[in-house]
Amino acid sequence: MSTEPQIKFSNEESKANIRYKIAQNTLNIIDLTKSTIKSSESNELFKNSFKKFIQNEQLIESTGDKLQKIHIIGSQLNFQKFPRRSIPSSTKMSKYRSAGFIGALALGALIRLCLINNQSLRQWLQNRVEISTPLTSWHRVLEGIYLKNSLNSSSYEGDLVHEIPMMINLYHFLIQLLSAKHIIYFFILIDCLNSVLVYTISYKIIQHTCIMENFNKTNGKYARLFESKEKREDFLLSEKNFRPLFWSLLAMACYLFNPLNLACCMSQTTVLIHHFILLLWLNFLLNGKVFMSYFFLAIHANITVYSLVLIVPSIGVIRQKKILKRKHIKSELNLASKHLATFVLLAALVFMFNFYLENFNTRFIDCTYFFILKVRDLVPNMGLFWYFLTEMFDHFITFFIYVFQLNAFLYSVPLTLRLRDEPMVNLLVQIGLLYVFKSYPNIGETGLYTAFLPCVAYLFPLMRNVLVYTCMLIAGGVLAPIMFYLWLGSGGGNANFYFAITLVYSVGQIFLLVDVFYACLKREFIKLNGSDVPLGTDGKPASFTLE
Amino acid sequence: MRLKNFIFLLYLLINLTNGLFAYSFEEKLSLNILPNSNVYFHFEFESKWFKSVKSRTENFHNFPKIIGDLVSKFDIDELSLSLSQGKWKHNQWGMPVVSAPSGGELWASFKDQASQNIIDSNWLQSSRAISGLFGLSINLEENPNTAIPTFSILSDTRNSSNIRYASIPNEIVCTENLTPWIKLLPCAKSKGLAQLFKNAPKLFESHYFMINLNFKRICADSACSNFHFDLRQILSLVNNADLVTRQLNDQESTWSFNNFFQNKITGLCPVAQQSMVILNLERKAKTTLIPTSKSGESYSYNLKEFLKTSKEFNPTIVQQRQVELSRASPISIHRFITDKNEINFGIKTVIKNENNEETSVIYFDTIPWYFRVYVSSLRVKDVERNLDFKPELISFKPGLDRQKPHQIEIKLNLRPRGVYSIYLRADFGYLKWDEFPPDVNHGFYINPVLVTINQNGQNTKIYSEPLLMNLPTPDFSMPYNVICLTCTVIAIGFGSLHNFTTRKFKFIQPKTLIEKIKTFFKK
Repeated sequence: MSTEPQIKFSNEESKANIRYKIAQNTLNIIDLTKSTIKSSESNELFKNSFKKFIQNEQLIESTGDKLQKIHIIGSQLNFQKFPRRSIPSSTKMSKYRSAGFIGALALGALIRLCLINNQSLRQWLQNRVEISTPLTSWHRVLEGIYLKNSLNSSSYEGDLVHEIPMMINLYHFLIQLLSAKHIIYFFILIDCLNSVLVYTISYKIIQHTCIMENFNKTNGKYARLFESKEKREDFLLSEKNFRPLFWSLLAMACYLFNPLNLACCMSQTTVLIHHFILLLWLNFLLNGKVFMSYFFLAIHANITVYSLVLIVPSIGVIRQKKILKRKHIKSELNLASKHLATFVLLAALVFMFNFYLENFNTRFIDCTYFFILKVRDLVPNMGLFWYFLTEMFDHFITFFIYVFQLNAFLYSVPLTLRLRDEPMVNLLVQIGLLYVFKSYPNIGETGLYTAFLPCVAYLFPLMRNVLVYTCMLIAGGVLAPIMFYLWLGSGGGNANFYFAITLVYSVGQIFLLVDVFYACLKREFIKLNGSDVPLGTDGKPASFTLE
Repeated sequence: MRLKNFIFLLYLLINLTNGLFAYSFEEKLSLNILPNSNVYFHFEFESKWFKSVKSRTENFHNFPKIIGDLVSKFDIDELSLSLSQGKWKHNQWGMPVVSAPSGGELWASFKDQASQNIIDSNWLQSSRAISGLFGLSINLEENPNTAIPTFSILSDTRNSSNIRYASIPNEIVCTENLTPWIKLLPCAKSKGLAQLFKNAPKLFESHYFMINLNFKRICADSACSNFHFDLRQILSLVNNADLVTRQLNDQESTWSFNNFFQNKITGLCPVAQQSMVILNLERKAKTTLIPTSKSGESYSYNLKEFLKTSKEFNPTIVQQRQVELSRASPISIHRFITDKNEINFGIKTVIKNENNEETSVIYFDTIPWYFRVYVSSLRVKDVERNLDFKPELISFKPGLDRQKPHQIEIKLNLRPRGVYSIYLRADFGYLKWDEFPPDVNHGFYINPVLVTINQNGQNTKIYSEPLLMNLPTPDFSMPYNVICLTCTVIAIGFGSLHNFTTRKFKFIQPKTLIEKIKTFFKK
């Protein structure tokens, strides 16, 4: 794709065609103005496109071809008209928005506050292996704090604690501040903040997607779509047919009322805090504060090694933003390496800070980073590693650990390259894939990325087997504790029962993410090639496949 | 020539006398009467070897060479191995002369070395050697269970950082372990007190059976240039006289040594400098045998003198059924599993001070690594007052996966008649399928707790019962299926992502079946 999309006028193109395109262009600009006049960023964008438009007009004028139509449409471009017209609707919207927002948040908080009184439920949840993984168990955090402060030894002397020193210190500070009994309120607060972040991020994602589509439309990238016979005006996204307020509210509700997330909050797993850091990364990234976003990603990468690779989709987003701002990108490789270097430096700094907190004792490296990579604790979870490594023959273990870990890190670059024009979908799919293929997944992580699915709601009609994996995920979630009980509680089943359920759950997640990816690619194809299905030589419609 | 002969004779004589002084052996049997017609036999065999500075070659004389070589090679100062079957009932039987946990226990104290790693490797090698010597299945490499006590007292004199301790509760003692143990005695089981062990299966019919081997290197000076080896072998057993004689009398039971061992002492071990039998009857029983010496109610027989006049030693004893304990246990200790669920469980140890005075005890606990103990869950409680109790000292060394067990030591001051509970919470660990022992559903042992009581400067050891716990087991029958299925899932993910990232969408002409076949064969 050319780094700077612009309208090209070749001599072969007929004048009518030029005329048509310019008219289309202008109308698009008007659309764009209506929808994005509020945000300063899009204002700039608008100005840029407008300048471009004027240039084009001049170009045409210089060729001596005077088109009245253009002047007429051009005169419609009155800046003051659109904001004024959009005022009443925006206040109505903001009312709707604030009522829905506050209502959902309050209800979510209320449910959580009601549930904390149920001690037996909380204890049951705290013991669930799917939630309290070795990396996120609150008991293990308490053990680390106890070892460090009451016994004056290192948190990492044993093989129980796998949080980084920074986080252990943070939790210790919080416990001192709030007492161990009231720390649950802090978790509820973080969970609510997470939901607010999910809301703002979803809003940004949707807005960004709409702007992007409008931008590409303006630049005539989707010309063939408009040429096709079956024109669907609402196929391309705009803030009219894909309202960010509604869908981001839905995303927030998906986060707040997802039973997986509720369970995580009640069991006080530290995964909520990991989510918080990850969401801060996304938030800053989408707001264009690159340094801050990299800082939080660096912390998250230190907690769970896997998120290192999320730097690649981040660069994808930044590149897209630059294109939208019409900044010229000299070399994509240069851009990528510059951002990568910044991130690596930040991650190293965070690591050094942890190293310093541990008084330069190297033991914690083995307990945190290498623990995740070597998968030493074979405690069951909803992932793929534990039972595989339990049953693996001794002399193949190292090989398969390498293969499985590589698999988790593998997809970031190819996916970013393939989805370079859809960085938002790329982000979502990559976060999801990391959570599926990591060594100690937590069901809360599924809860996090599925909350962002409303942001890609426009892909739902193109997805193939929604029912299959929805059922798989629900069956997995419901049957996991039952099968676990059958295996270890009643003794009625064996480990294979639980293993089967974790497989179903993992396959469900993979199907979901691959389907999002597939739908996105299909949509891109339609946008670029139009929605007409060509007829073959025998008059039958051609089939749509992968080459 | 004569001179040469004379010198040779002199040399022989010196060597012989050397040998006489260099080795000594004593044997002793003491018998105690326990309530409910139970009898407690305690055999003690002590071999000593004095290292003579002059002799260059290691000549152990009658001292068991295998032990001598072992302790010399690995620089062992002190070594203790005990194997037992059954449980000593402290509340019924009082205190034993020598305590031992159920199953096996091995500990050794090593000479100071340049680094602890040398001691560790010496420990592993010596444990293997001992395992081979006594036909045991101690495997401290695959089942790492070694603890280094910080302030627990195992040995009175040695530096604790040089001590290695392993509790092996799953070790079952049998005749095959007894045979090599008996072979260490200079007369084996042909002469002396050991004649009673001739019918070995009879020994294992007892309620409690214990063999112990205790080696010490005793130095004469601080530099330890002059030292002697002291090997003490102990065999204890408790059996019920009524069961053995198959008679039931409400008041008393009559039995002889022959009933218990189906054997009598007929000869003396010629090497033994002393062969003693002491019957501690203490108004609980009477014997028909005329004692060689009598002090209070304990009859002691010097077999050397006794067998001069008599052909055999087989006393008949008339024992009262209901008798009082002579040595009550100063504390009682019990251990059990509480609130178990699928994920974790609690281990509770209750210690009761049976004394009317304050007692200082040290609790020493090693828990295998595959029970993931949370030390933050440690609660020491005064049960009667229902209060948290602050122990004097706590030391916790967390375990490492496949490397070392969790080790907890607590120093407690128990108030008179106080009851205390020590509670710990642990998660189940998950082992790989090839790490499980052959009999998986037998369960995994949690080592017995060792409590050392310090009373009037004397250390007494008491062990709790070991616990048995099932670990979550994978399915052992289908590793291939698991490998295939998991790889399939990974392949589904990889395959579809690879497909979509490397290929583009395209419209193609639908092919008829014939066309498809044609293209297939063209390839």
